[in-house]
Amino acid sequence: MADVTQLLIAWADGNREALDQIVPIVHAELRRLARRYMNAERSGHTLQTSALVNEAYLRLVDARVHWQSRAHFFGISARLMRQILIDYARARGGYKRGAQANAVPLNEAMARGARLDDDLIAVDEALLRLAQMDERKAQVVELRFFGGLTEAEIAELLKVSEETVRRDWRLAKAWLRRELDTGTP
Amino acid sequence: MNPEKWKRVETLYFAALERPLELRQAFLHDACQRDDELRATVESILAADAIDDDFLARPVLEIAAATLPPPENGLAGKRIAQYEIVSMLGAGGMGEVYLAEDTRLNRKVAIKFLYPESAADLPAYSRTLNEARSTAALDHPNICAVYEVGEAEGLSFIVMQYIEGETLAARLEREPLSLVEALTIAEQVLQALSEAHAHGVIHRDIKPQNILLTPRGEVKVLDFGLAKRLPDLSLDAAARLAAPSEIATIGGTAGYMSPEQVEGHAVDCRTDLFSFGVVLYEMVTQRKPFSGETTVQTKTAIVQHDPPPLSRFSPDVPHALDNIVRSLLAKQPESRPRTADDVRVQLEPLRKQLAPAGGAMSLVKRVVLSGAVAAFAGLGFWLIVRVYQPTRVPLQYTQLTHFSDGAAAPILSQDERLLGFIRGGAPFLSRGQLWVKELPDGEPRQLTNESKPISTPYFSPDGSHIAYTITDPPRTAWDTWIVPIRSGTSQKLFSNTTGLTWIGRDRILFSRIQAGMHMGVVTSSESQSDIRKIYFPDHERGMAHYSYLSPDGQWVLIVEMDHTAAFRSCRLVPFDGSSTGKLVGPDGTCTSAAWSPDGKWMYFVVWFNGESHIWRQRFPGGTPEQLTFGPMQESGIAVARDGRSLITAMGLRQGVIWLHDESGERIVSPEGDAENPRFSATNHRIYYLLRRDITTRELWVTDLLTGKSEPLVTGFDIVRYDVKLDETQAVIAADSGGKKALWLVSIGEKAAPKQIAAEGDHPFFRPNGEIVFQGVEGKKNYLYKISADGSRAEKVTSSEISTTRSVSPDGEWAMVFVPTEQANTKHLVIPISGGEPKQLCAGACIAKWSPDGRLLKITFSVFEIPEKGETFIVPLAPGEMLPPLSPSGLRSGADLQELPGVRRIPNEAITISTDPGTYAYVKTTLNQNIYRIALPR
Repeated sequence: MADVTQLLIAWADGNREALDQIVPIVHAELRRLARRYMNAERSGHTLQTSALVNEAYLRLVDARVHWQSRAHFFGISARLMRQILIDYARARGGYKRGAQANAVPLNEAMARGARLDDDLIAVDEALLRLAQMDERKAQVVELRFFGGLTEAEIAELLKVSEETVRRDWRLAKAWLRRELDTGTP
Repeated sequence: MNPEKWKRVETLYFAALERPLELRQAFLHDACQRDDELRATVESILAADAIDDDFLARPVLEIAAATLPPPENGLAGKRIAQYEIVSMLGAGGMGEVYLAEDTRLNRKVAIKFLYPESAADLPAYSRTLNEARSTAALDHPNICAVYEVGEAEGLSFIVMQYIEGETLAARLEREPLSLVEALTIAEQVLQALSEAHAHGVIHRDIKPQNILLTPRGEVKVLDFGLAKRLPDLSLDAAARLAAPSEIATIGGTAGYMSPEQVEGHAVDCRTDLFSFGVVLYEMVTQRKPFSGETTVQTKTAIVQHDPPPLSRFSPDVPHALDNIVRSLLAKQPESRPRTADDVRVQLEPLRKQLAPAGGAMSLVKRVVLSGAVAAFAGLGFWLIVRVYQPTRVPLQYTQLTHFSDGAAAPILSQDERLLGFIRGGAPFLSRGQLWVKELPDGEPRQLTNESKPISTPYFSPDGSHIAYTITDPPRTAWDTWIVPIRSGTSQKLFSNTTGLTWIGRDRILFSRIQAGMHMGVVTSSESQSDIRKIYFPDHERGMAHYSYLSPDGQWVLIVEMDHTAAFRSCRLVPFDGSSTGKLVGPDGTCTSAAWSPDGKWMYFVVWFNGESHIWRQRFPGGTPEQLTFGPMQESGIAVARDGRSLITAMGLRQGVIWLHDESGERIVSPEGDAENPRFSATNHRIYYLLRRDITTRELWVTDLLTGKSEPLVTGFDIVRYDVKLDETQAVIAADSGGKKALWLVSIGEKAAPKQIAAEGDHPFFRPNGEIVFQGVEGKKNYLYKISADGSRAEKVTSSEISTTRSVSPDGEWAMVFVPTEQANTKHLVIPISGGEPKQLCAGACIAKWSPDGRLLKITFSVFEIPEKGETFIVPLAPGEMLPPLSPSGLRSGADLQELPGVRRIPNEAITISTDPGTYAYVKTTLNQNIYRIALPR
């Protein structure tokens, strides 16, 4: 197995190929952790995505690397968590939405846990559309919703102010709700 | 929507938000002019924004975890191997646990199936399986037994004892424990830890969830050795060897981790003691000593904060218990109690003192435990020998390897799970191979397949590799290679580097040659770009081979050879290299050394009075004391991290001289340790050195016609000798007050031996009675000749040499190694009566003549390792002492095979006679195996 710390540093230094090596390692680790979190140890514990990613980070990365690499790692992890969760959702039988899909009140569904899988897939697809228009806002959603990062962490990672992150999040969230509620692309 | 339009949406959206609600519609109407679609989009987004609920409010994983249906009862109802899966009991980090029925043994079992995802995490996965296998050896009433580690239908699983009961975690939630109950549970957990630690198994994840209380009041510790650990970060050989060796469990159990686990350092059994301390704290106070809102905060608390004393929460707590818990929770492992037993001994009086009369226990019943030795008794592989030393301190020996071809140079991995050693070879330069064995009873595995001598194995800091030295000068000099333990091939790590140890992240301590054979101890980073000298022997032929850094990093114990290539007393030098230090240990031949983990003891393996035993000495000022005794000779030493035991190779060395002639092969030497055979010119007699008792090595002769053997020179510890061609005299080099002196001995006369040189080695007769030998002047070795009465000694050449190998029977040629500027030697034949030296071989070789000087044996090696390699026997032209040589010398056996009459013998360590069909060789059985010796306190 390659050393994620070294790879992260290489990647931060501009070596794009390093990312290709990081991703499968982090992916395997997150998948394992996510599965554990979703399958068990649920009772009585408040689960935090950031804790999970942090755990992966601690397991994979030399803790003494500078914060920038850490932010990169969290960024990658958010992307991967999204992928993992969507894969799970699809695997559990969530159907692929199309233009004909019904509007689903996501908050309610999530509260009930009933149609989470479908909703997740819907969010994922809407995010793809958002990214085509405004990549940074899609990233903010990904980092916050899938990666569990705080506004401060996202600001650091995207090299923007926290205020910008807050504004991006507000607009993206409103737009996503509208997308999911209406089902219109 | 295209990005341009989206940009407009965004601008309008935020602009609208800045306006009061009632003005927004008008604003948008103006701003969008007639673009109704744009206006509608912004309005709908604003409407969505106005809904105040928890949409996307929590990260998805948290929602998913809280809302997903429980996992399907995957394997229930299936049959795997002989197990009928009944129902799922739970799921954990690496797998799912099921209740199952063992149809063969008709009992309930718990089976842990490992997730296939875990398999992708291969190091952790296979370690888990291996640990389960080693846990399977644990048989103790307080340990949940592991029955089997298996694989079926593509699933890896661990079959464990099924125990009905309540976890300590659940019990603590239900109602507080009384102090007596807490101490009773604590004692049983300590019993379990003590048993496991004695087997080298560390739990790594002691927490209330892993401690089960059965209805019958027993305490069972679960998941021994199953604690998941970090994958190795550096499986890729040389590049990143300084990665932390293991980083322990992280996850829901952060609050029970030890500081060294949090910081990613190597752990030992004291990690379990820390976690146990946390559990004890919680049992007594109902509080976790280290907690935070996040894992990071908890971990920070573990590393930085001292929890309040128990007495703050429960005034009844005895002061002594407060002290015990505080010592268990010490940040430094060294400051904690050393063993579980130490803690138990302290807790027991407290419990007895607190227990009500009659000792009635409502919840937990005290379980009577069989002692550890009794528990081993059923396991056939434990050999327990008791040897008493004069001070009557019993040492307990546990045999760790059982090879008929021997094992030497033992090393322990950081976590002490793996034993590394050289199998089938000698302790120093060995044609054996590197092996590893998982302790206590894993299958030994071969790691190397080297044709060259290897030595000084050492585990990389992360335990994934073993570094070792390959030596075959001058072709490879002393190079450090590295082999992965799991699988893979060896790679060269460093040239001119031997005795390598890691002394911290990116820091190494090793020996290197600065010129010729002058080897010293140096330190550097792993790049070797910043080499700093620590110690070089004064003499330029001296070689400091091994070095051992003290735990405080201030001192280095050094094992060195003097200018005659003999090991001498160990040396203690300051790590900063500011002085050459002092000799330590007994005044003998120190071949290995080690430190106790607390730095208070120095250990040595020393040949002293002809025996190789383990000694120890208090640092810095103690006197040496002998630790092991008896007929078994020890070699190599590694002290366990808890300081309670050490491992060493032990065995009896026996050398037997075999004669090979036309009638076959037969033993000619009597019982004892024989070496260095030499034929008489008639081929009727064979001389050799024989060690019958432990203090002397005698010169013996066997008459090959009658088979009669007799001693010729006794009362000396003879190292080397020569017999005059007419067999009337022998010259011996023997130990004399720490040096080697030369004596002339008349054979068959009762005259006393006569010392002819106070210091000398490698003596050879010339036909005129003169003796050629290797002497010393200042810091260098030279070749001398001396008259038989010892009156006139003079240098044969003015140039220095490293080692003398042989002198031709006509007394005119000496085969020597000569140092070069580089870390190398040249192999030359020097004309003793003057003239130009000749290069016999382009690389390494040893040549020796038959007693009549008509045959020359050549070995393309410098070590003459018995029963390995090959020898060429070359007939010499009349009057010639050398075969035809090109200026650069012989390159290999191929250069010789073209010569008429050359014979090839598949053994590089033979002694030739005047008859090419008759030769002798030594078969040495060391019969060493690795033992663990429990140390007296």
